[in-house]
Amino acid sequence: MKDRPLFSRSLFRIGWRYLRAHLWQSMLMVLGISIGVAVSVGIDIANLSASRAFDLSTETIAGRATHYISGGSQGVDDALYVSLRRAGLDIPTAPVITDYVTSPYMDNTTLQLLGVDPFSEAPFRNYLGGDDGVPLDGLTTFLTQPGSVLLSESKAAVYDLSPGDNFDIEYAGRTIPVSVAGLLKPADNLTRQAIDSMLLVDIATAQEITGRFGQVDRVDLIVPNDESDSLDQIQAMLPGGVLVLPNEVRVGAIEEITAAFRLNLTALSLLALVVALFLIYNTMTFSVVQRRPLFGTLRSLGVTRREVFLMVVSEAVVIGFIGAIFGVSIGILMGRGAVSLVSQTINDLFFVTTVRDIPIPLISLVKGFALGVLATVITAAFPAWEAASVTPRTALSRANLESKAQRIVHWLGIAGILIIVIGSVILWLSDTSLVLSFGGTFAVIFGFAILTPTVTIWLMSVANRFTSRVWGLLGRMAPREVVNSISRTSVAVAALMVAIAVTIGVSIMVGSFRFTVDTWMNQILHGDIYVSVPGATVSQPLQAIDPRAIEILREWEGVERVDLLQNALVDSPAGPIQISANNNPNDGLEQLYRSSEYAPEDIWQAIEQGAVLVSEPLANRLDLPLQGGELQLYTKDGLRSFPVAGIYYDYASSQGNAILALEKYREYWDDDQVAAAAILLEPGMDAAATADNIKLQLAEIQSLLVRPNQVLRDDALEVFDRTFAITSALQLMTTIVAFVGVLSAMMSLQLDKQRQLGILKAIGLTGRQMWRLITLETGLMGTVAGLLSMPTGYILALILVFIINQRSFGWTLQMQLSPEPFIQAFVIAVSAAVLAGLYPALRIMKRNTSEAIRFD
Amino acid sequence: MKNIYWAGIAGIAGLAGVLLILFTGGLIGSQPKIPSASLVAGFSSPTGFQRAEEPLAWEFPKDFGPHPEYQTEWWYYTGNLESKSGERFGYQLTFFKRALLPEAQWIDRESAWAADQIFMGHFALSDIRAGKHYAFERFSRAGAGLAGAQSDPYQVWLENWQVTQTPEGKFQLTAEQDGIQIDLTLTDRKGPILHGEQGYSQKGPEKGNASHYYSQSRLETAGSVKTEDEIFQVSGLSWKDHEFSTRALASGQVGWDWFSLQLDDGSELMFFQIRREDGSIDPYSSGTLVKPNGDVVGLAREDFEIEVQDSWRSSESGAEYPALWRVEIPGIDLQLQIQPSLPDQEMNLSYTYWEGAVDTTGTSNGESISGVGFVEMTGYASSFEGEF
Repeated sequence: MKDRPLFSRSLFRIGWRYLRAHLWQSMLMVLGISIGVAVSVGIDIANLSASRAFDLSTETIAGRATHYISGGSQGVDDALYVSLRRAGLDIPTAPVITDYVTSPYMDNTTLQLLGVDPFSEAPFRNYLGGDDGVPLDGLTTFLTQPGSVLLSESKAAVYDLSPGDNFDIEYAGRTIPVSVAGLLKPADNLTRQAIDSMLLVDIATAQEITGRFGQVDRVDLIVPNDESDSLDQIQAMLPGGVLVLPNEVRVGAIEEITAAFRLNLTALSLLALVVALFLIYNTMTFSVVQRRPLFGTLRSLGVTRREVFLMVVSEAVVIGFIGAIFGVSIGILMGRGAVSLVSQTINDLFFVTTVRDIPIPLISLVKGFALGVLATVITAAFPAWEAASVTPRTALSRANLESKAQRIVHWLGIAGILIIVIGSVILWLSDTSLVLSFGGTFAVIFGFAILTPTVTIWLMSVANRFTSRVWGLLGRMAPREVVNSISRTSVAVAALMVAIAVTIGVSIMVGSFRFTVDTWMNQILHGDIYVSVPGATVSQPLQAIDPRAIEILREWEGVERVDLLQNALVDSPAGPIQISANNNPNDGLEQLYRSSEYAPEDIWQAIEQGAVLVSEPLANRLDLPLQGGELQLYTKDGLRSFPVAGIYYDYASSQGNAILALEKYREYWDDDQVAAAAILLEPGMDAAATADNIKLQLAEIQSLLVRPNQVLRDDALEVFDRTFAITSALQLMTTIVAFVGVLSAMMSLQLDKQRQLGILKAIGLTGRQMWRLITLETGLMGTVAGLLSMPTGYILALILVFIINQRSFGWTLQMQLSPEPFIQAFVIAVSAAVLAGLYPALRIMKRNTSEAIRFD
Repeated sequence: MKNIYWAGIAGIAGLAGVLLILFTGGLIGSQPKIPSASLVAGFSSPTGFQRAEEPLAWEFPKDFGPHPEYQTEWWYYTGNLESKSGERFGYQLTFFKRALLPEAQWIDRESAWAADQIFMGHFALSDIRAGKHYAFERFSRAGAGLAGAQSDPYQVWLENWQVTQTPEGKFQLTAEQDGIQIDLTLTDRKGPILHGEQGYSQKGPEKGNASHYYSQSRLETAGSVKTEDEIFQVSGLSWKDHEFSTRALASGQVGWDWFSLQLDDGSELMFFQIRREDGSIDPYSSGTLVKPNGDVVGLAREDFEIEVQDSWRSSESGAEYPALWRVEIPGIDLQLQIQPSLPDQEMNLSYTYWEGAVDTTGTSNGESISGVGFVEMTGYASSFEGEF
């Protein structure tokens, strides 16, 4: 049995020669796998980086704190902290003020302002490693001079700052000069990233920059697991409304919210890989089919089934390996682009991350690589098994394979319908599980994909009547050719179909989303001019407008009414909840309700008496019933239940909001600040001109965003489009994969038919006719893909709009159908297919007849 | 005397604390070394602070309180206590204040946290019978009410370590950490004792190498101490030093030995010797004898003789400290033997030094005499020279 391995090696050599002889085909396979792997690696990198950036930001800020004392949106009275210190708690405590500032000097970079008391920091945070970072002079300055900041050495180097230099920062519309008291030298690379966008200041300086005199944002605690007594002891020392909360509540809530977003991206990236798998399957099948005579000969020579199987699989391993390496490399490049897109979206929708330049997570690369190789091998296993399972005699017959394929077509049709039904049932039953929902969605798409052969055969018989009338003999040949090689054509068509369907589905979803948001803004934005403080987050203004500015607005000529809004994060047993407290008496009428306890005109009255409105995403998140729900919030007097007067549609935040009457909010939380004002002008006033005047006039007090209604809406839609940039990019990648897939499938198909085409040429078909035949064939396939992708895309859109979005973000969207995505999809499908026929057609036309026939 | 040196310690250790925290993330216990060169560079030449150059017109109780025009100031309480059942304890509670800037340069800032002074506190308890010595250290800014000093009523505090005047002549001392606690009432029997020339205590050849220094040398003490597992009702005697200065030290000094003794004839004795790097005793070493009636006798360098008779090596720092002294003051015919109540009373904190309760016996004018006291020894673990 010694010669066995030798024989295997020669088998591998046969395989290798085949790959080299069909270089085009091999390259296309590699390309397909590469793109599929690249997209999933790119997205994985972006996702991991985003969550790492977030973890890093929170870790830097939370340090080793296990719990924190929270006073809600108003922070914690700093006298309370002092009294805790003076009471002699034996657990470490540290006051913290955090916020975001921008620096015009640093190209408007957003920086995290972290205000701490250096004397209580030791147990909590590690900023630095070396022992020669901040000179003592700097430290004295840090404590005694207002506006003293410490910033990372690397940041300082980029902007050419050294200790003693001054630069400006902006906070809440005010410009504040600061001066570099010293540089932070990070202990390691991770710390470097964490502190790179940080301004470390003394807590006194932090109060002066943010204007939060007499308060700190929170007090960090380190309470070991086994000391819950200490927690009770501290809680007992706190006044009502001030709570000891575990850090996970804060971190967990945000993790949970972004998890859905990240899962959506992953699912989309997997779709690209699925399409790539179709391509791999198609190409491998083709290569097996092409070599059936060879396998037959080998089998006749005594090569075992196992060896044939291994030979094909080992080819796949080589292809998968090369493809995965390329894919991972391209994925790294793509990831860099995707990171900024994903971070932008996360910044817009969820929270501010200032951490950039996360190193490429190795795990993404490993995952992507393994995924690429494994997927290729598993996909190739089917054709390999097929190659190995035939008897030596039948292997030599091509006709046998096609007849077998046609026999199972109707079984495939039945299976397709079955899988669609199963997918739908999963979607129906999976309720809130996103992973299951995506599983169901994939099943439905897959079901449609394997319906492809059935539909193709049926459509070809329909097409035959039409094409034969127009193109005569060629018109009859083309559809028949498609059906005759159904085992290969249908896979190519299915791949193209899935990719195009994804394009349709995602386009419709984004369009519907945009339409819904636009309609919703029309409904709720009734003010003529909106005033807010420019901040680091787009969706939720949180910084306060100077009260003097409000007074000026009230007195402004031509202003009929000024409605005030305060946004605040309030603690609840379920984590922090965003509150929008306003005093717009029409607010009850202006919302769109999913459900409500009262008639719209009576709702505001209920709100004024202490009820709340809850946005749909929040209601979903808290599992509130449609009627009779209650919202629990920690007020300054402790936990309090607020009756829910209604659930309204809201697309501003996926965390969800609750609306309170401003009066009630102020009563329960002792917060007089105002984050935004809506101005209603007297009839006939010019909103744009008035807004400009107001902005100019208020600039002395505070630099504010003063936007007429239309501008605000445009800004909001701009943010919207920005958040979907990553989705569109993914959609494009999927289409490219499909295009490559179709190109490779069609090309292989036509190249395979060189001999047949040569014969046609020999019996007198002109170049023009040959051209027409090939284009007709590929065009027909493109048409089938385009047609089938329409219902599939539509159903995918339905799932995305009504199931995935609802479950991911809690938003109910209105379906907005427009013909564009369908037309666009059809054009892409047909033109991709026709384009794919170009090269084989050109090639056959260039070859002389005898050469073509001699082929093989 | 220890006063002057503590000037440096308070400031440097205070900022060292900040440095440690910022540079290494803390872990005071692991004792990272402080880069001494940069410390000196940072603080070698404070300008704008008031210096102690001539005797002060003292005014009590106002002068119990803070003197922010000086760079360094501390309030230093030590004492020997005993329970009814005979358990003996020594304690130390010290507040060091260091001004980062002279008062004239303080900026009026809106935040209550803004601080131009920092506080360091040391708290120690010696449980003599159990043979245990607990020592703690704290830092804080003098802002937001976390730490501070005031004169009316007199109060000095660093978080929950504090001394407060109750009625006049009575003071409440409380401190707690990790279950170790003192809660003591101190009654002043002699009033403030001015050292040197009317409280102007010269430490070096320069006019400004001096401090303002007074003590309350006989503070009758009663209250409770809590060790890891028990609370004791105790009584005894405490000693308070209060001293403020700016740059009082001269160079060439590696450390010092400071003694305070309360004798059972109703008198108290304070003396210190500064050790120079060549092994000699600095001529500016001095002392004060407080007679039972409160009369004060100044002692110069040549008025007393200290002979070390035994030593003890710390296993933690490796430093070898004197552990038995024979002291002779021929001018008043006093001979004393001084012995630590517990060998290990080393303070292994930001700086390593020995400070602890001692017992003394001897003869005064031929009569046998005994007493209790406190001794402080610096510069044994490593030379303090160049660091101050």
